[in-house]
Amino acid sequence: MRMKRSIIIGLGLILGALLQLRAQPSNSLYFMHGVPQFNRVNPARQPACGFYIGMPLLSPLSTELSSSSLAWEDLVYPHPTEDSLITFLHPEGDKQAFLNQLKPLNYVVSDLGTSLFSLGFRTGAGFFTLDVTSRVEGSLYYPGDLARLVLEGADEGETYILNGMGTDLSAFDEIALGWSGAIGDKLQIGVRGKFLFGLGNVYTSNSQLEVTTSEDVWNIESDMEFDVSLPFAEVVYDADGIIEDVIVDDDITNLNPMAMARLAFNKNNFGLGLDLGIDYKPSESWHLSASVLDIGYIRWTDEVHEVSYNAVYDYTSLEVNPFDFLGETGESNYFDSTFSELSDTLSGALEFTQGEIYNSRLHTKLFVGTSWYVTPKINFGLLSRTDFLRDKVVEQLTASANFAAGRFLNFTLSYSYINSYLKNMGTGISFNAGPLNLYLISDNTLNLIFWPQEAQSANLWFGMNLIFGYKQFNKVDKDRPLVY
Amino acid sequence: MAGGLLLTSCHKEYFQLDRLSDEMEISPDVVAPLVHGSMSMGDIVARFDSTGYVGEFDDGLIYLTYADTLVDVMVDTVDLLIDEFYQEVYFDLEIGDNPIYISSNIGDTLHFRKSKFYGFSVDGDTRIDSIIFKEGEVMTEIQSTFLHGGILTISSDYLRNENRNSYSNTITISESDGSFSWTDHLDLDGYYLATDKSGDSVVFRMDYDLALINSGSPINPGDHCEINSNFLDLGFYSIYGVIDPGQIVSESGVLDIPIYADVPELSHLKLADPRINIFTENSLGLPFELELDSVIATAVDGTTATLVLNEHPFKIPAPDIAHVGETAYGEININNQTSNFQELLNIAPSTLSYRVEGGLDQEYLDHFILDTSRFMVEAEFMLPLDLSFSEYALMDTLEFELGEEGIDTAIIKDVVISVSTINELPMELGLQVYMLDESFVVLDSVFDDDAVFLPSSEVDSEGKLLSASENNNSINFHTERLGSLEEVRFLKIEATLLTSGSGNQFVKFYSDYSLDFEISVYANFRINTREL
Repeated sequence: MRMKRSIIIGLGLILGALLQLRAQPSNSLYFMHGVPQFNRVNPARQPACGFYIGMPLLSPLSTELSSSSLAWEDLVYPHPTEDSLITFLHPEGDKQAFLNQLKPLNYVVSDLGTSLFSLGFRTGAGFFTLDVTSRVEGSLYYPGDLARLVLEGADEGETYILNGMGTDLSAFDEIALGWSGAIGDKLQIGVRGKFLFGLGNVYTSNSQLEVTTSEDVWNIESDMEFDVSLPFAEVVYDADGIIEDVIVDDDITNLNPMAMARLAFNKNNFGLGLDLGIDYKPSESWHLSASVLDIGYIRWTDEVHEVSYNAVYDYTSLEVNPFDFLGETGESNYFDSTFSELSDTLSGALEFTQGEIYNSRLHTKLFVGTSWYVTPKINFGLLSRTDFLRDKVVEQLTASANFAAGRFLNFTLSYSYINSYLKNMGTGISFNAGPLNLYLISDNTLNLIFWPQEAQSANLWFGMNLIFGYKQFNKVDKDRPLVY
Repeated sequence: MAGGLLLTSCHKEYFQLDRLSDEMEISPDVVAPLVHGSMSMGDIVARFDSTGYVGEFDDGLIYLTYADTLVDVMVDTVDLLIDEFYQEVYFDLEIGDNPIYISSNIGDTLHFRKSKFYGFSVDGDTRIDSIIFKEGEVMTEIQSTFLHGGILTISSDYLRNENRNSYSNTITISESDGSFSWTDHLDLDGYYLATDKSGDSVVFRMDYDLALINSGSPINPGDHCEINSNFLDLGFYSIYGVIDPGQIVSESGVLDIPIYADVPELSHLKLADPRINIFTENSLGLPFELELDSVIATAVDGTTATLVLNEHPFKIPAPDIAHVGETAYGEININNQTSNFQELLNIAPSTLSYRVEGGLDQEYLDHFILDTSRFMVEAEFMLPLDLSFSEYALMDTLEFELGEEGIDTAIIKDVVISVSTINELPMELGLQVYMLDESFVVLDSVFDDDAVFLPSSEVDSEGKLLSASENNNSINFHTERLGSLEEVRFLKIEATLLTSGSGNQFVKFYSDYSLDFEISVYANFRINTREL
């Protein structure tokens, strides 16, 4: 009971961190010049102001859910003949269609959060930013064969490749200091250094698992290793090396401010990160840009544990003495023994140990974009985004049309190819009323309205900033000719 | 905002979760190896041979054997010799009428002599030359009513002590008042007794010399001297002689062999090399001969086979006179090389008539018997598993009932149990299992057809393994069959056995022949959340 309570508290802490995380950046944000946080996507970018400060918890407030393979309609859809909804697991559901949607390795990314503190200011040396952010990078990887194994069972002569299965979940606080400067008239570069403090981590450092089934042999080959850092809890092992209890620090349970602060900026789980950006304007009409975000790692040293599952096992059935088998022992007991032996052997390969120090890298992202300015207030952008996940490289493409109606309104209409889905229609809108800046951005706005059941990803950014020193940039705009 | 967008979308029916059915169902298949094992003929033998009836030759060929002792006689437990006999010698008035006495004077010593033959009858030409006693006694009782003293001498050259000195015993009749009485005991341990053949008896002679000293008194009517010599509680160390070489055993009869009638299927069992081995141990100085005559097996259908022995009669060796005290061993083998014994068994006999005559080997006439002599005959029946059988059927009915939980056919839709075999045994097994209800009505059968469950291995012309057979049988328990198991109360098992070559040739069973098997299962489940 105590263990259960402790686990729930631990999970609560992680979920609590999730609520504060900075979500994956929206692609549409990349071209939203009216939003100060657009330099989060490319540190070379400079907001058109002298100073801004984000509203705590609202700069931005963001959420994202992204599935590589499955949309809502793959999971839930109307009953073919009755007035009800069914899941794909319903007797009338199409399980094969569900399986067809899955790739060999699939993932789900879910983010939700905000920055705790965000400001930027301009000096003669360039534009500086300072952000304090709680981040959680979470991703769940599941092989398509896992679903096949569950739904179709272990069939004759089948090999189920479960490589890559696992989860990466990092909760950490980030203090980021950025600078953007101009080199000549056409080139801006930016860099943002980050100090990272780990709150907790589950890291799949290796995940190789294959299961081959037949009536002659079950072959199971696994080489899996998971590293875990739980600074807020003590894990107690029993004599057999099995986790007996997880005891969360009472100070954490009681939300002791000092303890929470120590946990939030835990120097024992320290890491470094780096964002780089470049923005080049070869002409008034063309802007070329690129950025690399989250180059870095966290070195986890606090309350580190390792879970490994290494097995090379050929199960060729239980060897029996035929006379016993046909005698008093009985074949039904042998069936029980068979599966008991199998489960005992497989579970015996699972080891929990005090782990060694390990590093987990951040999910690096590469953005490469170009904009073509039809007029100073109308441009079209094309963006390539590459996410370097653990075992996958995920490519996204976004085309956008960006409009500015004076300083008051910035509007973006985007189209994105994400997760092999072609119908991501996004919008972004930013209002500036005096120093107050409000924005709402999503890469999936229209498909959430018109075909939400097909959506495989959804993100939403909402932000509120106070912007100062913007008039000088308006003046520049005013100096431009009306006809370009 | 996202929620609002969803609510206003034209596809909101996808998100009306209050209409979402909670019913879920999956139908996974599972295939898995369950068990495997191997059993060799050696294992089978070890399993079922708790009584030592099964063995194997050096080359591994298995045989069934049964051995029993037919005769085991220790001579000292048999009354071969009459244990007592006696003779009475009587001197009376004849003495008074004897002229020697009449003419004698007082003080004269007068000898009166008699000889008596002791003996016992023997059969035929049996002759006993000598006996060395181990125990027994000669009890001599003397009573004299003569009014004379005297000396009585009893002697015999036939009876000698262990130093081979003749027996002689002198008794003084010390009383002359007619009241003399005397008793004497002679321990015969170590004494040697020679005998003569007289008619149908063996005899020996005892001599009695009564020397009376004339006291001057008359010999009145009724006066006598009575001598009783009693040989009592006789036992011997050895007896030498000649036993009548005529018949000592003669027996005939008919043995019923009910096994083939009780188990008719055994009539399809043919044995290639049945054997009877008879072992003898003989320390008697009596070499025997045994003759089997008219051994005829008769089958139920009247078919007969007569035993023909190549070496006959059987001789049971014995130690000769130069090897007194030793044991002679003999062995008599009745098998394919020495007889047509196989033919007798392979007609599935219901009766076996026989006549046995036993006698002494007339080549040796120096017979002896020791008190330590032993005669033992042990018969060993040996059936090497070199055989064939065809149409051998077994049937049994077993009670069957599913456990209280039964089989949840709502979840288990289909089960296929596969049995793969690699069989080195030269034996084919056909198997069918019928499922019967409580009225013994057949509900279903486990196997869909009567195909061979276990094919036999391939053998060469000598019946030895050439190659193992490989086979796979699948037993399909589909939903209906699984459901019907609830009603099954009995299982009727029918099995047929057939040796390789359709039972037309002999095959051999070696201990290293094995039967390997693997059992795997395929199951199809249907798991519905509303039925759990």
